[in-house]
Amino acid sequence: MKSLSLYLHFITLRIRAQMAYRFSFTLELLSQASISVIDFLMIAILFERFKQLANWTLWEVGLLYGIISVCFAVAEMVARGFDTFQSLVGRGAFDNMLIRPLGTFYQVFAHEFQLRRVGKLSQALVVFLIANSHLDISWTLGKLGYLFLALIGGTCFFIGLLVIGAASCFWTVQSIEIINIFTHGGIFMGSYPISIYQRWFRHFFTFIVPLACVNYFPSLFLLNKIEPAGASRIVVQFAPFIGILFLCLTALFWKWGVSHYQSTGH
Amino acid sequence: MKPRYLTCHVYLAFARKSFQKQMQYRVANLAGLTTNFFFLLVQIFVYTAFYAARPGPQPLNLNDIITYFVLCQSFLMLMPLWGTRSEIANAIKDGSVALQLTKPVDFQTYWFADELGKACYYLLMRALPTFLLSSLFFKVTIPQQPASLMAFAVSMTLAIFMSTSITITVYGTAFWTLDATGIVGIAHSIITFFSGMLVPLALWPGWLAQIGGWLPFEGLVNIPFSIYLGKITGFAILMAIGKQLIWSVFFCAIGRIILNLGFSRLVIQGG
Amino acid sequence: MDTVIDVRALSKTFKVYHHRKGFLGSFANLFSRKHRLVQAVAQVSFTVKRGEIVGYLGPNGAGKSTTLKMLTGILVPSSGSVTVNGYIPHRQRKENAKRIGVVFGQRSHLWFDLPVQESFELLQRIYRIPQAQYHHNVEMFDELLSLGDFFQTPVRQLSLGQRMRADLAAALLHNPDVLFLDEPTVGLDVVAKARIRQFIQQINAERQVTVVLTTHDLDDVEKLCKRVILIDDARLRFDGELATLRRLLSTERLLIVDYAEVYSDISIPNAHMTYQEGTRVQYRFSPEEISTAALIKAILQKFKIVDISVQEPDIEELIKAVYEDNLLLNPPANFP
Repeated sequence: MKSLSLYLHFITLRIRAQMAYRFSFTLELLSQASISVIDFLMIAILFERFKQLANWTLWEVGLLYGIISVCFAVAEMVARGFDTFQSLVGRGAFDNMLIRPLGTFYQVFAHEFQLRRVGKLSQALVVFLIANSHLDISWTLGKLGYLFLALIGGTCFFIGLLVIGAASCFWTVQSIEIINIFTHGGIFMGSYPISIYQRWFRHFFTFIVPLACVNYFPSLFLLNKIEPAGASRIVVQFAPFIGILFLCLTALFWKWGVSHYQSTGH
Repeated sequence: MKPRYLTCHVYLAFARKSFQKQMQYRVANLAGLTTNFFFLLVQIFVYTAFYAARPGPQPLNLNDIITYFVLCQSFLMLMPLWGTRSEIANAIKDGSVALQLTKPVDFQTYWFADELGKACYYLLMRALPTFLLSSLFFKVTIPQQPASLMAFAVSMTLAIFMSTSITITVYGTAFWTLDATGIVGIAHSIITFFSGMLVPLALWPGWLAQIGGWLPFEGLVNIPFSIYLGKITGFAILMAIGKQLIWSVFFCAIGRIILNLGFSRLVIQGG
Repeated sequence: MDTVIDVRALSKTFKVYHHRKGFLGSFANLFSRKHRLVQAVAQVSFTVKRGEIVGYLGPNGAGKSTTLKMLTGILVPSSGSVTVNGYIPHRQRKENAKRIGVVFGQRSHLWFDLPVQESFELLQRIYRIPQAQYHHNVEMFDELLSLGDFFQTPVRQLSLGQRMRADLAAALLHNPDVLFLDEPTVGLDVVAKARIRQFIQQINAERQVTVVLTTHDLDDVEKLCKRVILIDDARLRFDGELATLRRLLSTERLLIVDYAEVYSDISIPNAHMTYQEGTRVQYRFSPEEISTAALIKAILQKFKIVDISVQEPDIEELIKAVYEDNLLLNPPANFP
């Protein structure tokens, strides 16, 4: 409880610092929103011309897009410390964390809270809600609970990716920027039903980097959609937990990484 | 007064220095190359699926689309605000740019040289490898007439020129905002969208394509690549290139005004 | 007095990667990288008792900071053992952190955007410092370091001296038993240095706080440390009292004489004249060849003098001698 209230204290301070420059903050909020607006505009234009994509309608894809974007926006909002971990190490700020009687994972989380991602988040929510109003999903308590878990799981998945990118700084000065393929590339790729991709590609993002569990399987579940490329009902039902499990594994990886930390300047 | 060729020499030296500086980020470049390729792969998968869903004539066929996006990913880093932020842009942000006033060179030209050095790097180390690599995996068409290849070269050069002027103009606003991140982000998404980098203008709904045609940004991507694909021919090429030229001069002028205003503001406020 | 810090055969090796050049080289770097091992600390052993102030000295790159980082739990040792207050810093990092205070002179451990006061309040919550203790400490540190002048100022706007005062106070808010200081006076002016030193002395005397400090400033050492540990090239070279070091190394002394008049021949047996300006003459001599008393006697017999004084070389020269001549590789009596 104490660590939760301390966390809230940390991020309140961060948010206050960001809000100090109201004009800059508003612009950044708008910038975040505009970046994701054009992403969805692109999808809408393509549907306007081609009407459908592998038996998916625009609003079904809107659901896919909404879920993955909400998850990523929240992940970037809360786990910004991991995203910029390389500069944290470079400035020696991570040394400062190691001399505090708090966990490092916790402190990197508490280090930054990027409020401007609300711009992206609200755009994603709007797309989700509009999509929902066009779709005929019969919402039950079970489906709502499932959606909630799926959003948590998806957010955990993206945080996990950011943690892997950050932890790689313990071995290499140049953080593996390849992780961008899975975050930004993952959003781009995951905005479309995974069934349109070639088999090897689909399998990679189902079994190796389980991006399909973030929005594809959950959308199948919510839409009661059955696809040849999809998975059995049981896999679809448990998809939300994969992201949580993934984050736990990356936390272990992080812990292992910290013991290899070399600090700077010796 | 110094002879003109000597002045040119100075700016060439700036460009060369900026080129060399980029060479340090080889690993990042390699990662970027991989990311380019990944996005390309997804784009091609997506369009293949869309074209399969609705057979019938389209303004661009699937091969055109593949070539279009190969070109997009190749020239991505040459587009406005896509490349790494230059030290000059950062210097405006932290105010140390005042030091530049002591240099006996024209600031905009100096910045231009710096950006062009970077552009040469991206052309050589990013555009070329991406294009060659993509040609190995996908069916990339190459213009048959030397004339359209020539026209493409001219148009692309103008696009890069325009891109550089836009980049300088947008980062120039940092004289007023504490941190240009917000404006850069907004400009970035508007320019990226209306340049045709996400969807070629030919596939847009009529009314939107018309708005796109009025705006300058199609000169960055849509015009040069349409020339490459042979979708703009004959006299229309001259018109299109003329449009690029006019907008390039426009952004150069706007950039100059913004930088001049910015510097006078800096002088009044004492940096 | 009980032992607070116990370091045994402590070593740390770093992997330094070799970067291949060229485009293909950087591609190869992604998959396999050559590295060489750099020994930063080698087989260092020492103990520190409660209430001591120990100067941990050595030239740049000798391994001072690396040792400090292992004592504070930032780095994991490659081999050997460390305990601080009975805790193993890298394994029981959080427990250790509660009982130590750390200040790095090169950079602040406070929050850049926050005013000093808010940084302190944040530390109060992080270390769970009781309200009474917090207020008592802030009051006391304010009195000693005049924090009030800049208590509401964001850390990034502080001068170097103010920042160091704030950092020192911040490191002591939770009443640590041990204080680690890495170059606490670097870059400060004479007045600020004196103030920091006085504060360290006072805290050490009143609270029995054990202090380990690295420094390049030998004034720090002379004013603060009875005991010094010298390391060079990753290895321990000397551990003992400053006075002992001086005695061990004082093979030569200086004799400065002000003569009453200018003499034509002022040479003295067993002493080298090193300097002359008017009536003032400086001789160098070795006490093993001639005792100070005998030397003065010899001078008084031949000349009239106004003043005479004997000087020991300053520690800067002593330490230089250790590094340059590889003296005291195995210091005899004072090695723990």
